[in-house]
Amino acid sequence: MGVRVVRFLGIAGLGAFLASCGGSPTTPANNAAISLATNTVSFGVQVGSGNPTAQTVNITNSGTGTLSGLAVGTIAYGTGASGWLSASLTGSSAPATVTINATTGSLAQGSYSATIPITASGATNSPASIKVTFAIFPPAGTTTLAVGGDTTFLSTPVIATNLVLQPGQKYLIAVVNTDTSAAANEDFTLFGSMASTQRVHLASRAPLRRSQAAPKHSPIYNAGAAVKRIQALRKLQENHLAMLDHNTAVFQRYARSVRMAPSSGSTVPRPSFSISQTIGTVNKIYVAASFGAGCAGVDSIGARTVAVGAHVIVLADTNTTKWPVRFRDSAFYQTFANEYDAVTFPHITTNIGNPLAYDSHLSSIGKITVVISPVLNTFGGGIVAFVNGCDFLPFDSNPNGPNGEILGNQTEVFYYWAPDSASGWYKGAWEDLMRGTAAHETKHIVSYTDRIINNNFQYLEQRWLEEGLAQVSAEIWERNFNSTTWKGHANFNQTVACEIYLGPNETPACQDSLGTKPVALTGSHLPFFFDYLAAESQSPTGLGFGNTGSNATPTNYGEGWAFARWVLDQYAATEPSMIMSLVNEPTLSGLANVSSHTGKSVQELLVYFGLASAIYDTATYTAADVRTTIPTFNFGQIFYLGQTSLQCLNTANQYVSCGLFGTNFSNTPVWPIQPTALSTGNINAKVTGVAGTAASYFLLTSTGTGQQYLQLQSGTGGSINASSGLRIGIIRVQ
Amino acid sequence: MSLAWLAFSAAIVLACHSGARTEPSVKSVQGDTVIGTIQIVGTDPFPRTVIIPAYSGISLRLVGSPTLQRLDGLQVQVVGRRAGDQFTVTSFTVVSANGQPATDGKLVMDGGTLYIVTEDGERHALVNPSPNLRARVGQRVWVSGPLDREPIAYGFIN
Repeated sequence: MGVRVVRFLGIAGLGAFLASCGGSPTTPANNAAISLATNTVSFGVQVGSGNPTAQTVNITNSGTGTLSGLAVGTIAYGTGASGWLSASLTGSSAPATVTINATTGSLAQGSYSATIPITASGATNSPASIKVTFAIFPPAGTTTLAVGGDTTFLSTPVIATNLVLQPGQKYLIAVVNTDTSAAANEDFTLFGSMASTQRVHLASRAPLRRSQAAPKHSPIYNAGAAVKRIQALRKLQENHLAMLDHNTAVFQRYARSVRMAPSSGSTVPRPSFSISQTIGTVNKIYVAASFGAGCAGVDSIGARTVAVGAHVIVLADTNTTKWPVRFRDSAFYQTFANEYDAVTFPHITTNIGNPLAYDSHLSSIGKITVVISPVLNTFGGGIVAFVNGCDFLPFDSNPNGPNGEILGNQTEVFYYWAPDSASGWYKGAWEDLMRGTAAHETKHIVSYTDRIINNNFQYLEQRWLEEGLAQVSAEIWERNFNSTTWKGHANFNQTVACEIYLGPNETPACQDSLGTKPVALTGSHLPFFFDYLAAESQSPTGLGFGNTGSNATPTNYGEGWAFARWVLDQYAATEPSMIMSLVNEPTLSGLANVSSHTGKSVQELLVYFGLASAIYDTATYTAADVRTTIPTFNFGQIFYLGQTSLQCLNTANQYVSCGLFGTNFSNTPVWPIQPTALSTGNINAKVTGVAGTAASYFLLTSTGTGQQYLQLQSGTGGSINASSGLRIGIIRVQ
Repeated sequence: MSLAWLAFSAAIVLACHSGARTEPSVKSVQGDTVIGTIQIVGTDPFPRTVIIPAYSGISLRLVGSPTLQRLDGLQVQVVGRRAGDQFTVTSFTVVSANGQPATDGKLVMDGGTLYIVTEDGERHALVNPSPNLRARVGQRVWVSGPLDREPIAYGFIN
């Protein structure tokens, strides 16, 4: 195109030069050119219905001089009917507008085409053409929704309906790509027409007005360091994911080794070392220090037994260079162990599974070991916690063995980092974080234990659901302190304000019996869910389940958790029964696992979750179908207050508005989802690159009375392929 | 010989005989070959991928091009060498996505028409290709669905 333009200008310039040589130097050159705002216009209505709304195309002069003498030439019709199109100009000089009308009349079902020539006597490119297509669709059914009501189109992507409207009504439309692979992108066109309105569609990503139900006088919290700390944690969580991946690789490598510990029967030989339950004893512990697939990339440390409980042993690295003694010998460890016995371990066995089910093949200690080491602080740039799959394998110090060295600890361990004041995780905050992290990491131990017993590591859970359910574990654990309940619509005060200090205006009731605030939801669940939604429907390719690279963190910690939470809210008879069925599944993983244990199709799961996670405002309606909600949390209120009610200290030591969920403390966007605004009438919204499992959102506002025809079309406006994974869900929100 | 190896060998045999009866086109190649679904089990800084073979279900850890991780959930034919449960991939081809046959190749623009050129040099004009594909001339992609129609889905390999 660029070459053509240059060539055209060159010819035009030559023409001007030649004209000047012809003896008329006093006449200014008029190189006017017709420029059309678009070269194509599409109409579509149902057979026998009224005429579609007129459409307009703006005409300007893209050349020099004056563009005058504009006229509409003789319309040329394609095969089939003729006479169904008319066009008129607002004037004969640019700028002008051509108004195009299509007349339905008695046209039969089918597709019709025509070309409108726009001429101008002095234009270098006259005539310019507008190609018009007019589709007469088969009749579609009608959809009438009360406020809060919804409808879904799940069985096929060939979707058309007439939405029965009154002025002022609003509809949230989710077009969901139900392909199970996030790598599979689809384009689509949301096409619409409405015969009885004169309004044309406004296809823009306009900022949405906050609803009247949103809080008007929310308190202002001086969050300060708390927000900074949470932001720093986001980066560290990414390395936790990498460790999970390391584990999967380890299991893949050793899963079917003949040297693998049997899943039943006799135990394997004990390692030459064991974890001492005597306070003060220094144990030799291998801490992974490499993300590689092997089990030899470790640091060997001395770790002192600092606390012992009925179900847990806490070890602290004896390294005094990287970890000051006042931290290392903290009295907190026994407090932690006591809480683990009283709260965390019972939570795990009640809600998740038995983390010690494989213990007889390992150390037979009958306890979870927690190793606190500053090795994690520099591992891959810093990592908060992990479970190492090598610890489940038989120890082998022989590098020439069939699987090389396996320098694991042959017991159920999770590792936790040392305090890091530089990132805001000073000792007190670090302690608060450790408590919820224990619930997350112990869930991973359950997963690996179950999969060893069930299938000898043949089938591992997909990363996003493994992390998502570990997040659920920490979330449920947190209920012991924030008093939230299953399907209890937890709000900002019950979640964020219960976990981080928000200054003198915060609600004081959330401190636990220890006088502190364990951190779980605010550290990763909520901000990563916000991140995921904000990026989900961004063109050209949004996020979907199973993203990699930098997008993996919001996907797995945020979306994975929210989806698992939604599944539990919708389909679980009890939370433990559903969680355990998913964790203990012998062969399936990911969406196949969820679909199997809920009895619901992937299409139903993804479309309803797409509607439920469309958090673009504070809902002003009561949902008729609970599947369009996530009842355990009031996400809209949490996100709104997290983005509008916080103040942070800036570099000038002044409090300024900041956001808990925005990137780098940004308080925008307030809502993670920004649906494309549409008005009733002609709609021709094209979206490219909707990733598999992801959704694209529209907010349709009715400006008239009648029936809005809606149809899902291919990316270029043709018939959608019946094998497409695209589906639609609609909620009337006002 | 382990059971896993026997199952894997069976998978190869089935894969080699599957071209005529399965919709995705499967090329004949030298070396170990597996057709299966890619699952992502790794990410930065050390991404890992596995393949669940279509005919045996025993997963194999894939070693090779990092671009494999962009194929999560797709059915892919991998060619290379197996050692234990590890499969070193020397080449791969996307064969289907969401059950729809896929074409894997490089994008070429010629005279305003966008083509996908498969490894064997065959050119296929794309019908109404996505702007996202038009923006990636020269890159390797896959498209799914019949080539005489607008692609159903597409993805980027590199």
